[in-house]
Amino acid sequence: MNRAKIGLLYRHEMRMLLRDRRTVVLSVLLPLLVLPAILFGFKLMSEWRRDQQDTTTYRYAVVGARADSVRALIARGALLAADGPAETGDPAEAVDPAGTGDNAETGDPAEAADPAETTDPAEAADDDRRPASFLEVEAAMPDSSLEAGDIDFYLEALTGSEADSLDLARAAADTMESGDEARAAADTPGPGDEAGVALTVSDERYPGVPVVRVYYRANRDDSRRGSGLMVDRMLDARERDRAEALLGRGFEADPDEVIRLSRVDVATPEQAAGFYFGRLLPLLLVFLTLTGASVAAMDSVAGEKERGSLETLLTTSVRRIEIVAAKQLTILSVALFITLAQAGNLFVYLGLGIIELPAEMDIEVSPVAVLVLFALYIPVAIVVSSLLLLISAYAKTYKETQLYLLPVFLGLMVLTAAGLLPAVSLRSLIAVVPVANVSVAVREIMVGHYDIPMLLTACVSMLLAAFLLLRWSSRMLDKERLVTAQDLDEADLAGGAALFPRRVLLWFLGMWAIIIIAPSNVDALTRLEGQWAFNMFGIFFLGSLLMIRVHRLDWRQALAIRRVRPQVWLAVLLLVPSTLLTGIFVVGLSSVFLPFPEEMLEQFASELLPEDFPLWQIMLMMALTPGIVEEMAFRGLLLHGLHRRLRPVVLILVVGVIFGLFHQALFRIIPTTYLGVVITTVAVLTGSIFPCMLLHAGNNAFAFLLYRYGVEVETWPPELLLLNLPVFVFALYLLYRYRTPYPGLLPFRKGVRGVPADERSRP
Amino acid sequence: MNDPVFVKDLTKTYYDESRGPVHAVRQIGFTCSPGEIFGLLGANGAGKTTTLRMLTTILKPSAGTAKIMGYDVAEEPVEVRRHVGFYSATTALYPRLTARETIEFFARINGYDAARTPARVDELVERFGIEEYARARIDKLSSGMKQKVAIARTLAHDPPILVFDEPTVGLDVINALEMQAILSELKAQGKTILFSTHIMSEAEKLCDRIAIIHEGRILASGTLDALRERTGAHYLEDIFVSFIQEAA
Repeated sequence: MNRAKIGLLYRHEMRMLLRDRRTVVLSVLLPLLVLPAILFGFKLMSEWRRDQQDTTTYRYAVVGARADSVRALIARGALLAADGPAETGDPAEAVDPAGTGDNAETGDPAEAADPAETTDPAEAADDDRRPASFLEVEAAMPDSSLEAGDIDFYLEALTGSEADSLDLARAAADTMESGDEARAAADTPGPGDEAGVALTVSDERYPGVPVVRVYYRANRDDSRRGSGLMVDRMLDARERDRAEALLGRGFEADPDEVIRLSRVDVATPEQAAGFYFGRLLPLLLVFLTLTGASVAAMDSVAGEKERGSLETLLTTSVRRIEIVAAKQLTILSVALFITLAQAGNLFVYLGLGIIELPAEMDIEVSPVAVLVLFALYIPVAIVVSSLLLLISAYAKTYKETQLYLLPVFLGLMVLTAAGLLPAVSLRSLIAVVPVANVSVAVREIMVGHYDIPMLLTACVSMLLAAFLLLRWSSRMLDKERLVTAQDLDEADLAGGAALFPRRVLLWFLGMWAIIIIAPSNVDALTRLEGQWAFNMFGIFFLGSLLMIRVHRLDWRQALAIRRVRPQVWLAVLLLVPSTLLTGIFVVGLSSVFLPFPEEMLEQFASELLPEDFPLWQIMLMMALTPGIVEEMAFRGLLLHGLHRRLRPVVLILVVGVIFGLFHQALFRIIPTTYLGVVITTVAVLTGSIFPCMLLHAGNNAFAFLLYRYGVEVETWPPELLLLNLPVFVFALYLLYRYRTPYPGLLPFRKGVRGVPADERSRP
Repeated sequence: MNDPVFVKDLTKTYYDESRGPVHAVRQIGFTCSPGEIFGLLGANGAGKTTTLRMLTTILKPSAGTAKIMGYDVAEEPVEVRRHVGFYSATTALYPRLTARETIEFFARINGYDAARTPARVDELVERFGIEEYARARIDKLSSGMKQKVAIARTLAHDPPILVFDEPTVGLDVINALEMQAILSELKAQGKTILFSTHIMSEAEKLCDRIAIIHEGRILASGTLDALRERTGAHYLEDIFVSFIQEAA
């Protein structure tokens, strides 16, 4: 690569970018304004909400035979609330005789880490508020008053016998669906409800005990909050009553202090905050990078294609990779600029006190951590901008790029969300998954955990991903179908078989969607046999026939119905046991370097059928039928549809992965992908579906027999499995030696410029 | 072999995933000498543009060889592009650059000496009479002005070989005549010019030698007189038709 030319191109790109007012506004100015605006909006909202709450007087009504005793309880609660500390939803604190006993430990870290105070910012914000004020109003028809919003909630005080009969009525009503939302809401736990079993109707209630039911509407803030506070207050009062009663009868100590429970958080506040912040940071950064860089990326290749200037650039004496490198640098610059500017922006706003961070985010990050985080952010920005560049290079127009942007956006966000997964450590397979690894790494760094070898692994995997993406982009510029929109497309007019290669993935996507969605929506399919029959015959068999019919395909060609040499059968018979054993060996070996979940190894040999099925039925359901119909679909139609689009190695991998994805369970994907790859290799080498059917059915039968007779291959010593490797290699060699390749394959390597092997010699 | 343009058995087979192989250019061969205008004459879809795109390395040949100033188009595409200026209706300019910046950028990116670039830009600006709007952005210019800037950017790095793909398509008579005048002038400067057209009169008027291309094959090539002699027809139109009929 010529650095001077890349520099020249880079300056050229930046100049054009900066002259494009639309891009500057959309990708630079807008994001710079949006984030502070959002934060500022949040601040205003929360202030407004707090003001609202401070001045709110919750209106309530009391009804029922024992209304007066409820009023008395409320009054005692109000007194307590006025004396004691602010209502925190922690009854133990509220009834504690002020300042006595062990309460000197306020300010202890254990208290600070109390979940009631720190986990939910909204609740925490209530701490410094003055006691809530309540106003009782008359309500003849409390239900309708509640619905109309005249009151925020109401209390119904039932006598013991009333409550008893209500319980009976409820038992009867349970069989019917009750339409009364308010009543239903009263029984779902709300704030303060969790300890309030005696205040609401509970199944474990003693007969004859009076009951107070609090009716509120969960769809209204004031109703939810006010009723919760009221319940807390009443619980406090009752607690105090009970303590006083016990003390009055000679109980020697404060009844609350009989058992004192406390949680002690030994994490430093920085670690706790870092954990919270570290989960959000990657999402924020990726989001900022995407929003900032996407406009620049779209313009840089797709925009140039549309304006026609890309072709001009391609006729100059720069290399494709130099063009791609310069464009990548441009997008990267924008991404880095935006992110740094946003970070700076945020610090300025924070420094000026315009925006306050919630207490949970009040963290101190060491300069080392900042450096490491920035060092990790750069590969993320490189990967994201390379990905954006790739879709821009792949799309023919600006509009097409926008179409691809959404799935890329979602995909990246899903990867980034890996940091939110509990218990995923960087020391796992995740270290080699681009973006997801950084997301997990950031979380670990924010709690002060630096796993240097795995951090380096993550960086290497990110840079590798970026390199591959860039190379891919530069290849896109070589594809003249994408560079110039000149080619006639007769396939669209002709339809039928000509269109099949382009539609085949869509067909399989549809089939996959049905397999995923149908079982959860159709009752008959929740049973194993039903699901099996539906997948095998409804999806794979019928789907294959439908593709043949709709696209008017030659069924012999589409299903690869071809004779093979006799030696192939020997090879396949050798492959039947050795494919499975080799798979277990390879995964076992690789888990020395990267731990695989154990479930994955077990899935190699396990089957999903219950043991009480007779053997012949298992063989029919799990071996013979999938061996035939799944092969029709995957090594038949899928391979037929893709074989002129992908080079053999990629073809084998893609068919294998799609085969794996159809076996939905997470830990089955890798083993079935591996099996799919092996079977597709057989199909490519023999050009026929029959050996594939034998291998598939044989492999399944072998796996099941091992399972049924309790042979746990995955626990065998690796040396034993190693012995099987020569068999596997020999079988593949036999297939290669007596190969009758799948007709019409693309050449293995790029040398012949996309002309298939059988066309090469023709002028 | 020392010809600036040397083409032998050049073939382009597209492989369309659904249509199968499409033979756009089939084993064509020709050479051009310095100071010569060589015309590819053919109907739309005959393979003219594909041939010129292979010569300028936008497309890669499926088979055969093509050399520009001795550099193989498949082996040394960067060197090839350094020695060629390519003009076509599909190669647009950057709307956000000015005319001057455009010429300067294309001179520099094609490896023109940095110290000599300003003088070269001045020279082209003067030659094409674009001083008045040299500092205006391209997107503010009329199509006639844009065309002049486009030619100037093709010549920016002073390449010995110029490839014009249907240069007069879409131009009005005045601009088309201006284009023809420029081609003659460049020829006089000793440049090798390869150009394609489907307009008979243009080929008749400008070309030293003409190749008639049809369905990817060169049916005949030579000077106008030689072609007249072979067919017995006088007008290029008749000559063209007679070759096509012969091939059918």
